[in-house]
Amino acid sequence: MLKAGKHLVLGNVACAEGAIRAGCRFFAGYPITPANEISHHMSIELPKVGGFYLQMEDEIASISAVLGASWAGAKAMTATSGPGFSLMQEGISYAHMTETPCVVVDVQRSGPSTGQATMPSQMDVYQAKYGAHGDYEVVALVPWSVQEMFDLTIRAFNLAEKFRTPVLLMADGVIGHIMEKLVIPEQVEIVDRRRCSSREAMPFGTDDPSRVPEMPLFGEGYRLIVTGSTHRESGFRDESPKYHAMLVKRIREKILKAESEISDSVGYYLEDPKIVVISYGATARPSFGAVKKARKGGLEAGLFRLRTLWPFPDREIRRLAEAAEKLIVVEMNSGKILREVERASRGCSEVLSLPKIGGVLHSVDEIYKAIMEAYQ
Amino acid sequence: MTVKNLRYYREKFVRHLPTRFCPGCGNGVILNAFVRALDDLSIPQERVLCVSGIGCSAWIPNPYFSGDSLHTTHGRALAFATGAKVYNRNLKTVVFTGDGDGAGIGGNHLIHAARRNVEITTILVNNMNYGMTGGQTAPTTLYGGLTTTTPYGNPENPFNLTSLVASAGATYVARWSTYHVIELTKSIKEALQNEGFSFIEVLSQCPTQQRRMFGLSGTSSEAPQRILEMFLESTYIRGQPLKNNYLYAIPKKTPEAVFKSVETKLSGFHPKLKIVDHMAFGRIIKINTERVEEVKRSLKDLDDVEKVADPLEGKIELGVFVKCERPEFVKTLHNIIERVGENRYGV
Amino acid sequence: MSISNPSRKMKFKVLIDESLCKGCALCVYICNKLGGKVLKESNKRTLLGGTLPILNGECLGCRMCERYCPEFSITVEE
Repeated sequence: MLKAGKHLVLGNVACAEGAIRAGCRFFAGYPITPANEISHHMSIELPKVGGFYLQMEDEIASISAVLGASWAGAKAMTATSGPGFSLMQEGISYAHMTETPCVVVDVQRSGPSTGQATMPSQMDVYQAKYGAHGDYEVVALVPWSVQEMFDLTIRAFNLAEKFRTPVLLMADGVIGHIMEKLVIPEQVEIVDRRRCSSREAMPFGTDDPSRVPEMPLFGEGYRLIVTGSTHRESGFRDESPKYHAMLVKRIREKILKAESEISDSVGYYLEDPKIVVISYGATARPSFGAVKKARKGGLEAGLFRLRTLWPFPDREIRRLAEAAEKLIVVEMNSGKILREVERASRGCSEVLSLPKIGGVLHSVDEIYKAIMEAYQ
Repeated sequence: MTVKNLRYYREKFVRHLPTRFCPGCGNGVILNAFVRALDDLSIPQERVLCVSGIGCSAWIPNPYFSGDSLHTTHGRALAFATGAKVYNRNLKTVVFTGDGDGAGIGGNHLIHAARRNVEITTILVNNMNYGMTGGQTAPTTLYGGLTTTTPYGNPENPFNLTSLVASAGATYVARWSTYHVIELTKSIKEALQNEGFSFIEVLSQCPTQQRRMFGLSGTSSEAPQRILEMFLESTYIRGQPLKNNYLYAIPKKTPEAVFKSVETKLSGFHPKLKIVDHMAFGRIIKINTERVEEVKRSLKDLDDVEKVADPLEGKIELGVFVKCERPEFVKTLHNIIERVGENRYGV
Repeated sequence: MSISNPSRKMKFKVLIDESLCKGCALCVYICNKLGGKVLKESNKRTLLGGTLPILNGECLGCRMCERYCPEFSITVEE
């Protein structure tokens, strides 16, 4: 494990380092480009800290092993890319229903299907939110740098433990495979799940305003009953409409009510914006360059970078839409978050799209040109 | 010595009754055998973790076993269990799965868990169909078997699960049936003590679906016992000699229609005739006789009889097939941690 | 079975929890096949619909019926 201080590190490796610092002691994965370096690093480092690296027979087994380990007390994660992420969806849905904390990293590659295995994209952002069956609310973080691959992985674990929910880290092939400076702090804030306070504690129900129940573990004599079927607070199955409505409502509100705490984005030059570029992850980097270039040329352009994709910051987007004349959504897909921005801005400003597919990052000039055109 | 009756096991191990299993279903019998095995080994109940997938068999531990139980997604119980067992090695981990859940959708995890030889005991309830979803054909449904999705006879051959899992690397492999409750209980105990991957396939009666499959006409309340009787008739225990000499006459028409002519034909040998249900041949006539060869010859020219079958023909072998040693997965992971441990630095 | 005094004949009662028994008759089947042949199906319906088994003779206490009961409803008491 890297010592505190400055390092020059691959994005995927930073992610693994962040996980271990956050207390992750269990990784189960399956080889897939462009996420492999996370597995490689985990297989080297985890045994050193008494942790376990498992290479499973497929991605379905990987997410399943992660969830099994989580209920045995582990902070557990897996890392994959598009095709594997698709296979993991049922497991993620199970994790939501049983409120099992875990972290799933999706180093997005260019799809659909096998696509451009080594090329980046941001095409899985809707799958992150709507990929699995059933009603549930997703927490998805989006790093734009090697430093954030480290920081947001730690945040992902802390959010997962705090809200007893799976958390997605929507990285991409660029961020995973670039080498950049990484500053590792001496101390890192670690959050642990609320353990069981008493024998009578209900593992799947609470009247705590956070809506997050305490989490007993296997092997502690609670005779714990965990099922993906609809269940009562005790965990005992009960597929009646009443309990289903209650359970699904709670596991969704658990996230929605905490939106202000979970949601997190960064604004650049947003004091008096006419044109606001909205972007996330890798594409936010050339966007930032383009906005700086525009500013130098005296144009009132600004950048709004999403660091948390889901839950989506509707209010901030609405405010931006009211303040600015035009919003340009820059993303490496055919225009997905574009629709969220359109929905959230409710027509308060014109919303333009700058999609890009082909597995190549937008250039600064491409975005600058779009800003100029929007300016006329 | 206080004799433990069923109330002892019920109060100690069963979380909820009555079960939702169909009357006479094999799952209850298997839970019965399982808790006895646990109790005999006096394994502390808080150490036991039962993991199960989706299907009738999955309900055996969840909600009916009173201990930690994890009811997972269809087919994935073994992968969930591997994760839990690796992270907390002193969880005595038992997976309950079915033939569909374990060898159908879960087949990939089954062979890999066996290959890894992770210390998990898997009890696969083989009722030869997907019971919960309404009796569809399964990877273990016999060739030609009638199910809700093979109305014209199952066009596929079934797995031999014990040889499949044995060749995948499991270090304890056995097959029993819900008739052989004593052997099953003993086998579960051996499986639980095996420091590696243990696999027990249990032929189990499914009164709701197997009457169609094996042509067991008659009232449904008779079905459970008839199926158990059929299991007894259609299996033999590995390494155990036959108790007495017999063979089977397979009638062209129904056994009842042919019974009289067979009886008169063999009157010289004073055989004991009985109509039985046989999983491979259906309803046939069992002929108990010491003079097997002569009976066989004399039946040859009786045109009502289509075929004469030897005692073991088409029967399913029960018993313990594998009991050996191989490096165990979780132990190895811990050895790695020790080996790597010197330059371990605290976090 | 009391070992210390084998000559004393053990008396066994068979109790069936009617709220659990589904009348699958596995106990009757196995009793008549391997046991004392004393369990018989009555014409009384159980709560869950099956026919209730009753004792019709002297139970030997072999407890095979307890091993085959899927609902844990039959118990042999000394």
